[in-house]
Amino acid sequence: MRALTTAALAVVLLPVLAADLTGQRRRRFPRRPPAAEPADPAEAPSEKKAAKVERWVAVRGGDVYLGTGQLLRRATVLIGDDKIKAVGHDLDVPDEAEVIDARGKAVAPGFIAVKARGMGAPSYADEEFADSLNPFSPDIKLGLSAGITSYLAQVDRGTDVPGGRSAVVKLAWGDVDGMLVAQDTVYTMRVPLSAAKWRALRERVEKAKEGLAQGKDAGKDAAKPADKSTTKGQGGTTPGRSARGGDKGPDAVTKILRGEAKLWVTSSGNFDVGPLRQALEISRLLGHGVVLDNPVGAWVIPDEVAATGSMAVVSPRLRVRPDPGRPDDTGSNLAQAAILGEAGVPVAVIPPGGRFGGSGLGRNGILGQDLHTLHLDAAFAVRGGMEDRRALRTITLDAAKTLGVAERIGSIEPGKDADLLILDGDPLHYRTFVETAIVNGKVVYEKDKEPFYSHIHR
Amino acid sequence: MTHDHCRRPFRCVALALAGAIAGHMTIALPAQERPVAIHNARILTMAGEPIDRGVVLIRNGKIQAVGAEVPIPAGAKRVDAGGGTIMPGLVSAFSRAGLTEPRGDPDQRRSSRRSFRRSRGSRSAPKASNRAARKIADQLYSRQDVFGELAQAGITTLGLAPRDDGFSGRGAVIDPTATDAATMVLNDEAFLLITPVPGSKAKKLVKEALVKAKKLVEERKKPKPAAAKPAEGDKTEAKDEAAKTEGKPADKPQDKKPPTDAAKGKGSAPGQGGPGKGKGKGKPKKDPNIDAIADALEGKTRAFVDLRSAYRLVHYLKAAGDHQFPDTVVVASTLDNNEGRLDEVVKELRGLSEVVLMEAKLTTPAFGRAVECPAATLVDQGFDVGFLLPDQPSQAREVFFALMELVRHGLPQAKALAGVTAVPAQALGVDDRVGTIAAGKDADLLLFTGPPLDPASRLERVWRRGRAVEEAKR
Amino acid sequence: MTLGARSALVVLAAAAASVSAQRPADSTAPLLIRADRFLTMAGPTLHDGAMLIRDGKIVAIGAGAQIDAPPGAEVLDLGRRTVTPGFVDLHHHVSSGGGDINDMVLPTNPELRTLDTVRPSARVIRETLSGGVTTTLFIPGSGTNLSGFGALLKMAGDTLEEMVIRELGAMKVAQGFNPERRSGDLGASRMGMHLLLTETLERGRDYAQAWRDHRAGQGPQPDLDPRLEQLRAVFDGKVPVLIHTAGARDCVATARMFQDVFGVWMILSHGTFDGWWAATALAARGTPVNLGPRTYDFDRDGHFQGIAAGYWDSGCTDLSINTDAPVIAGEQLQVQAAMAARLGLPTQAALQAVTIQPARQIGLGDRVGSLEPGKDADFIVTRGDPLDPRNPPELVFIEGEIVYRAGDVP
Repeated sequence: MRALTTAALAVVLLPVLAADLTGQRRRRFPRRPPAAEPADPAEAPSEKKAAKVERWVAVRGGDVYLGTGQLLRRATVLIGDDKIKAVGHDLDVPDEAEVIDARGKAVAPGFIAVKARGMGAPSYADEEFADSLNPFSPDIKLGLSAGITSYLAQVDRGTDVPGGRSAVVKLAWGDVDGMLVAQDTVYTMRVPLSAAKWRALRERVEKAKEGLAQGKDAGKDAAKPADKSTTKGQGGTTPGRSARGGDKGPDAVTKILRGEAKLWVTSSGNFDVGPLRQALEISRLLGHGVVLDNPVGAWVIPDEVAATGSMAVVSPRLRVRPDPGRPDDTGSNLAQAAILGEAGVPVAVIPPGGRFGGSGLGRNGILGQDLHTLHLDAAFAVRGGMEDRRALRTITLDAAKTLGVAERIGSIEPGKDADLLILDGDPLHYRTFVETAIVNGKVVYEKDKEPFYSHIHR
Repeated sequence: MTHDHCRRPFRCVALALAGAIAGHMTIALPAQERPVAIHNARILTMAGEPIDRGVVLIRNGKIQAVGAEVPIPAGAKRVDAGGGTIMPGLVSAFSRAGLTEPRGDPDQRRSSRRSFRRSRGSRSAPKASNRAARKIADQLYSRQDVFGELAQAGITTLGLAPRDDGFSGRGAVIDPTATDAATMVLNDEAFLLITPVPGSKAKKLVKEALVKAKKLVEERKKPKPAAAKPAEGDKTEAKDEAAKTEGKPADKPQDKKPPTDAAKGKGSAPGQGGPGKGKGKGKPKKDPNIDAIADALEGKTRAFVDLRSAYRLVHYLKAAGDHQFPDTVVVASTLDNNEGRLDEVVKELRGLSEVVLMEAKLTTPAFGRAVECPAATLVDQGFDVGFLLPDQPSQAREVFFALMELVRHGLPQAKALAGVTAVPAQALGVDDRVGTIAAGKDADLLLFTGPPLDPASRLERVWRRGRAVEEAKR
Repeated sequence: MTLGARSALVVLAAAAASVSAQRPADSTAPLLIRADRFLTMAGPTLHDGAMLIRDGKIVAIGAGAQIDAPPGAEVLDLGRRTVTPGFVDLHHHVSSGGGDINDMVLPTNPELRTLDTVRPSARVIRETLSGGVTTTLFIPGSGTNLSGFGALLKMAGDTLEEMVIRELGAMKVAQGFNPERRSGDLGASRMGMHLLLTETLERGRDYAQAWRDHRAGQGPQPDLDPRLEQLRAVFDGKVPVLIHTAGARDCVATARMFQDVFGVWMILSHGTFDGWWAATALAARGTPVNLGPRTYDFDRDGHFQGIAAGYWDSGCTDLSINTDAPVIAGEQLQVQAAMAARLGLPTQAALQAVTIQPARQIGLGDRVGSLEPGKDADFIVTRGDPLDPRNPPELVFIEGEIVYRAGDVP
């Protein structure tokens, strides 16, 4: 029964299972203290009077899912311009505020699709993504109808060293200035690496560390020498791809070392324990947790993952079968999101791949497998044993963490961007629809006014 | 004299007379012509209320008088319009007819088809270049049937536009009835075309060019320290350079002396106030493209901005910033469903221009079948909307059907007709000569058998400066 | 299995109930199931109910107070859980352990069957079971016009014999789209297909008739034709035809051919794309429809028109929902029903569409699909609404036996 206690689950279990639980052991690794959760935002509304608020909006009376795992019943979200100013009960709502009645509704942070395409981002890598964002893309409305308010647009990927180009884009319909959350906060690379490539990576990282150490006080310019070497190294290992975010600024490795960007690590084959351990080795080399992209074997070594401070992007319902001939090839597990979450690993969920699933907003008649129902993938995390409100985090706050933009989006907390949804029910229920989507404090989607689901009444 | 199309006998005489005065276009005419009076016509002057039964008096290719009570001088040739309708000749302000460039716009994305799988789009950012100094008139192949055919379709004034993204170059106003380059080009600097595309490089190009041009404008304003001569010399040299870089033969005479018509028009020769800067640095490097942009910034040339969609508009505004051209015409050479329509960003559009040239087309929203008329929306919002006429003569003839559709969906009839006459004339800056029927203007006229927007009406005759445009031999 | 158990642990972490019995080896002892909620699919939801099972069959179900455990019975008190009949999927391709199977040489193959390809050990069968699916019709693909006969299976068993309900579960016909892709032969389009199919069906009809006449003493004994023996079962009314359609055109053509002309027992499958446009015509004939894997038609107005809702609203209420596994994983049949409900199908109808309706359509209305006395004790235990992905089956029973426990498939 040791497993029971280590799992800290004070619940009664089906006796039919008890027999299977004995003898279960896991290797334990020193665990990082979990990041401090923000205090109850209702108690500390940061009323910064510095900038004058032009426009107040109060979303009143809804059951507010903060995205942090907390729920405030019948609470009010006060929005000043494009930011959340306060959340809680009995707030001082300015007289001029526009009030949106959310009584009987759920209010949740806008969902974040960590893998997506379309919806206004260019299909090419622009120096500045902001210069190519299309705030009038019809897919934006479609994405909003699914509750998505931000997504990661990846247009290029790194291979043996951190690289690629990406942008976190908001579905700010009609507002080109409100679309870009950040660019190049996510770099990618692949494992497994050959011995030579591993050596090359290590040298790269050491060089970048030196550069950082030398120019500690010089700020950005210090990164320039490293920057140059990057370009050369890049050309050698991943021809035709640029690891650099635009012409200016530090290179990918430097940004990751500084904690300004996340490194997503994926596997060229099955992401089972072997390549996973190499990915974790990379995270130790960098001194920062990495984001494991679809690590199907991570549920076997959750504490190892947690110990590096790494995160995971998984599709809970994805079935990857184990290979009985290869002990390390464990296959996936419906419970992987839950197991990782329980170990303290922030988890973002994505729809399964396959013919009709994946990172798009299909129009081919298959519903329930792609971004039209991102909330179902969080529901599948619950199916695998994750607690309901924690599961909501897999498409909100924890998703934002994997993108390195959790300071701005992912939860309903004062100071954060006012991206939220008014839903006609429990955010993770299969019949729940987005009634209103608010991005940057502006209403950008209303179910009744767009064709998609306007004919369906719950 | 062809009589086969005289289905109504009573009109044959009139047409015979009209034909007689028209003669052949290439025949040189005496300085003083016999005046021609077209009578028994409903006249849509586009400059006021229609005249139910009136007379247009033409002398020396100009309209001498128009009205219900215009006395017909003795000796004038009388043309009986047979109760038909007279309207101004069509002005096609934004055309690529007869240009040598390859057809097909790679950046043009159409979304009318419903597809299961959407394309992933381009993998590289759009490219743009600064070719502001380039003149499309230089690329004109004058001896082409298309011009005559367009004239027969009723187009009596043609604006030609260059094609490339970025600063595309300068458009020309041409006479489609002329047969040689010398007389065809009326103004080779009618407008500067900007075709903005999104993307960092393209936007940077626009931004930097505008900053430089603005600087040049400031310099031009300073009192001239030196004589204009060297500046002029500089200029020619620079133009040569520009021509070389584009790999096109320089056409110095044309550059220095714009065609006679242009002198009267708005587009006067640029660079009169050539700056005498850079004393310390020797020969200042001058970019003729920047020069051309500066001309437009000063209002010497008007600017056409081909925006197509709300998406392009917002990015152009960000790139251009405060550097607005005083005389701007917005063109929407296509209406892209995937990028938002211009009538969705009326406020921003108004900041740019009150004149919009667009496809004569109805649209449907990205989701749904509702038929919308963006032209009507813009007209309601107080914009002057002109319509783009197709480059293909057969399609150009169908423009009235397209206009009928727009009228059915809320566009006032008068606005529909103004959209192919007065508005594009105003856009091209030739409204002092064409686009309306008024005394002093060119006698560019169309005679329809009935109301032009009636499907039963037929375009019977086209006059360009008082001369009948001959039917093609069939 | 420790890994599996670990996930089970997490799955059941929030469980509040205590189940007091484990099924012993001796399954002949009666089993009494008590639970908060029984979605019987044979009447209103039963609260605080009990269900008595003996020899794999339900012998009684009703209010908990009215059913007592007989002597020697085991009692399984599921507490605040929901008991639902096991799901039935009539369009399933993967019980051979692979994807679609198709013999692509001849356009009509009434002599083929999937039965011989079933692999009881296939992991995909256990995965399907983990989604609460207890009965499937394992049909061949739609690459040819008539691709053979599918086997009707229970989703548990170590041997084929244990799994099979009916060897000839249904004959599979494909009317449009998929079988049209071949070119150069007769049958490359709907026109030629119609001809070939009609010819084959007429041969089968005449053959069956000849045998019936002979049995009735009205004719000579026909020559035994092994190629038509299976088809004979269709015309004897023993086996239905399940017809792949794509769009309204095929739907109407199918109903005309199989209902109006040949008058055989049939189930119209897919019915997707704009198929719901034909719903009125089908409703008039009472055509049984088996919808999926597509669940909506994104119409030109940008509406997500629910396909099931479209049929339902047109009066086509004899409808079931499928996965077309592997198109949608077999274990996600409940997602398919949930999506139909999301797009406007009443929730109860969505539940019926994966339980009693498909059971009736395939001729098992007296055996599975609802919780009624006399029926197989095939049911699933969930924490709540079984269509909600958040409520995985914690236990799955087939014929009174626990065949799946949460976590058995990691």
